Amino acid sequence: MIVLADINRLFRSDEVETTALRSIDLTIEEGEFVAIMGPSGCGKSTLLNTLGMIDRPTSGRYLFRGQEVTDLDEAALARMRRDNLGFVFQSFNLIDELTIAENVELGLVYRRWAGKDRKARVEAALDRVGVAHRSRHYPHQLSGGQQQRAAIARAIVGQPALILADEPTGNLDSENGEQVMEILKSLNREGATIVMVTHSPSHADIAKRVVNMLDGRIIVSARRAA
Amino acid sequence: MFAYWILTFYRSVARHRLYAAINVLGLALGVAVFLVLMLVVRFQSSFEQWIPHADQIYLVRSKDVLGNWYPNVFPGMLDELRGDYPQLVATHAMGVEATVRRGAAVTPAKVSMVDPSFFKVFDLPLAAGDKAQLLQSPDDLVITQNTARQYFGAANPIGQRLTLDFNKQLHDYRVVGVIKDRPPTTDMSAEFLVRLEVPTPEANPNWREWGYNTTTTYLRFASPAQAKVLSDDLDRFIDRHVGTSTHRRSRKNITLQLTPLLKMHLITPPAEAIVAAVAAVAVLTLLLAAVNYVNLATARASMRAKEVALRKVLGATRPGLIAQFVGESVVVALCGALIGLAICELVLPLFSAAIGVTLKLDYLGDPWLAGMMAFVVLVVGVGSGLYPAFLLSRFQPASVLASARSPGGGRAGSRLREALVVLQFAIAIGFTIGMAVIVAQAAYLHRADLGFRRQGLIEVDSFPHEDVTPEQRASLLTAWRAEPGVVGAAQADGKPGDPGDRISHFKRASAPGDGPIIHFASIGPDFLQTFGARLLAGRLPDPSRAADFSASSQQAFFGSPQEAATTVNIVLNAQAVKALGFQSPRGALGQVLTSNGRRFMVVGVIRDMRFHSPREPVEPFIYWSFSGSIDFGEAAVRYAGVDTDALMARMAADWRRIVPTEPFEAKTVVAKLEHYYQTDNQISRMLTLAAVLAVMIGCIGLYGLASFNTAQRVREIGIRKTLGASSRDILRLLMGQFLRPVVLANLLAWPLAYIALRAYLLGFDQRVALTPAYFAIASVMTLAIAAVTVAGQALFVARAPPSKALRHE
Repeated sequence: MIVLADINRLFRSDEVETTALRSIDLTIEEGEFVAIMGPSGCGKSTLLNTLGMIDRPTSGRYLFRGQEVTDLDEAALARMRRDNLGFVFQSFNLIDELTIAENVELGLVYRRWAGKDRKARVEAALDRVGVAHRSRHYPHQLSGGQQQRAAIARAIVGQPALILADEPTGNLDSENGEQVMEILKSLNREGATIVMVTHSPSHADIAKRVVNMLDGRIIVSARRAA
Repeated sequence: MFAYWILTFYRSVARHRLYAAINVLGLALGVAVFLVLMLVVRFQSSFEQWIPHADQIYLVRSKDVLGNWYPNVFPGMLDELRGDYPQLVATHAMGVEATVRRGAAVTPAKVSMVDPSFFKVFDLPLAAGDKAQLLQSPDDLVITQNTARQYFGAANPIGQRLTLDFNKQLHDYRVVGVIKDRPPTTDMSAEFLVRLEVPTPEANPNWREWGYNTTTTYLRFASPAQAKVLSDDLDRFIDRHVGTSTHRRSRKNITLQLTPLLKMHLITPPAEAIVAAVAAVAVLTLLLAAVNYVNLATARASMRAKEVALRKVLGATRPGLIAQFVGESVVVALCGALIGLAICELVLPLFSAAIGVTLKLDYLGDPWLAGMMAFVVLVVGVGSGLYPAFLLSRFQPASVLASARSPGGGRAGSRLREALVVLQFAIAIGFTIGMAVIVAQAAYLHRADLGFRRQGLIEVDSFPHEDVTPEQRASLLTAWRAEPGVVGAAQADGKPGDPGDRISHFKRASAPGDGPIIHFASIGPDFLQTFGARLLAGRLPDPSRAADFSASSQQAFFGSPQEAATTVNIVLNAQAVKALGFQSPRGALGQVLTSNGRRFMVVGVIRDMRFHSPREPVEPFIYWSFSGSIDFGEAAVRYAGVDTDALMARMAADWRRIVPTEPFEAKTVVAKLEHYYQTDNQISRMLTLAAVLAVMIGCIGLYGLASFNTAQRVREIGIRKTLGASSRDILRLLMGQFLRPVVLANLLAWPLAYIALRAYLLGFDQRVALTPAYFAIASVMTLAIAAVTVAGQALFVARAPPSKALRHE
């Protein structure tokens, strides 16, 4: 599904130049559940952003389902994201001014879905993660766990081929964290490809493959026996 | 402690240069407009305040049968008033056209003949002379400092002699007093004051005639209560004296009123309304800038929540924080006000030139300026500081520090800010619509149909001077007609359509009663042709028909018995046709009118000619032709194909040859009409300035809010892009949101502008139609300017890569 070949990413500011990714080669198959681990600043999030097409590598090739992504223009990238990807963030990133249902619906709005079709899909997605009863509330009225589940609903409402999760349990207590992981696990069982950045070894254990990073390089990529 | 305040304040300003600049500049522009316009208001409303005890001085005004008020009464009234109210402090003055003779030089002079008690009412500051002794002798002359310099240079003017020529006589005077130079805020234009002597009944039979309104009578009262006592008694005063008048005036035709001198300058409508409107524009512009400032300040302050929380953690008290915020805000407001003052100083010379009035800021002698500045700084500074001060100091430090985001006042805060932007743009759009309409109206007045061709016409002002004899007038007209380029020259006792004081009842021969009151103009041969009157029916007076002309305007109604028995052919204007009840101009032809026992036949009807304010309707007019001399006759010269200045010079040369004793004064009709449009030109210039700056301030505010808003929403935009929104989606979203308040502002501005402008236009007899185009154009223009203002911000954010946006926290 995904082939990364010799991906490099440099960040430049006036004084310093930081290499976030060095010669990354990574292949991810359809239906995989990959956990990316490593210490702070090792390039996990940059890798995830690159996979998510919200950051461009400085050099290297990125094939998504056989299509070269690195030379797509801004508009084409936006189309790729909305048609194929779902994002879950550590800090939920729900829009404060929109209700839970509206936040979830946003994923469909940009897919140009018709209004009446959207309603049913939003309801189903919220139901799937167990926060349908809070659909009319605003993000700040929900607990962290509920907000993250709503964020997952938003990620899956468009039935993306790839779900990218950046420390999805990082801001949650253990009980809520387990619930979120359960949802991701079942989504993966239903066929979704998931790439997740995490600090938690126990959550990484749920994935089928763990990629360990250090200083912008992949040092271990180990497939676990299912 | 205080040093730390200053330090954080300075850093906060330095770190957010853009916001700080926008904040201060917006306020400065608003303050500048406010100061400039308030100087205009102050100038216009401070007339005669320089006169000591001006508040104690009143004028006696009289109303004529047509309902017009005049600032004068008959000269004999002063004695009658003194007789009835022995304690009264009163004087009167009569302006007269005069010239100063010094050797061969003849210079026009503004002379006022005044009662010797003049200085008891007007306690004018003197540069020289003894106030108690002034005007005690018939040859006493009081002049202004300016005149003294003009005639005597540095020499002591007291005791100097001057010869004045007026009332067909030369008068020798001795200077006994010099009045200090007057400020420009005065309608008193006389440069020479001489004694007005009470004439013998033979010399002037009209002196005690009600209706011979030639003198301005001033009364001075120690208190308003005393003025009221006399004012309340004026009706009885009229009853006591009107019977003694020889003229057939009935009591019901006479009304007198005491009017404070300080009110006189703005008493003619719409002067006071215009000054009030300028004040309103000034206050609204300041309000606009203040709202802008408060809006930006509150938006920006919310970014400092963390700083506030940390200060609290470190032990700052709430009152201390409030004092800090209000203090900062007052300092910034002070900066804005000072820059505004500087801008005001810079534009004042230009602005003064544009409106033809010299305005200046008086820093030392005038507490007004300091008061205004303090008012602006305190209201705007404290007003914009209090809200964020209370809002931010209320937050619990723990929740602010724990939160990744800063509280921006939440949804209520952004609603409030949007409402304030709506208010700002409503003002700006309202001004723009107003400017469009008023500028269109001012331009229209210059090309509106006056009933005659205004181009190529010269009016000779010195023609009616009493020292010019009828024979000289006839020679002048002949000489001018012979000048190359002159098409026609004629005289009349006024400008056509400028209602003078010649009125009479005219009635249709068959109709009962007195008939309507109609103005009548005495005109010479070719007058209507010279002006270019346009016929609606019949014909113009024809020199070859004897019945079209009477002998001399002096006799008019009181001619010889033979003349009184003949029927005179006259021309009506369209209003007179209406007033007399004829169905059409054609229907009036051949009809007979009577007035004062004389018979008139209508031979022609012309279009209404307007030679007065476009605000007033054209009055009914009858044009009565005379072959001989015309009293108070003004001359008009029609020309084509020659240079105006060159012709004027040749006419002046003819004048000097024929009338060497009087100066020649003439102006083109276009220049004379300008007087009637001056006010409207001034308003349209002022409003243009205000509108341009209002839109500018509005856009500055919109820009500031847009940049604040985008800064606050970088994360949200990142999320949206992550979800697949394209740059175009984001651009559309942001532009829609930024421009929504501008669109809403139209809904507020339109009805208010409509009401105000309808009232403005209704003040004109000739006016443009208030079409939707003005509203549409103003709104589209404002919207376009606003869109350009925010487009840069929106575009920048919309194109930023989302990963950067999500890191923004």
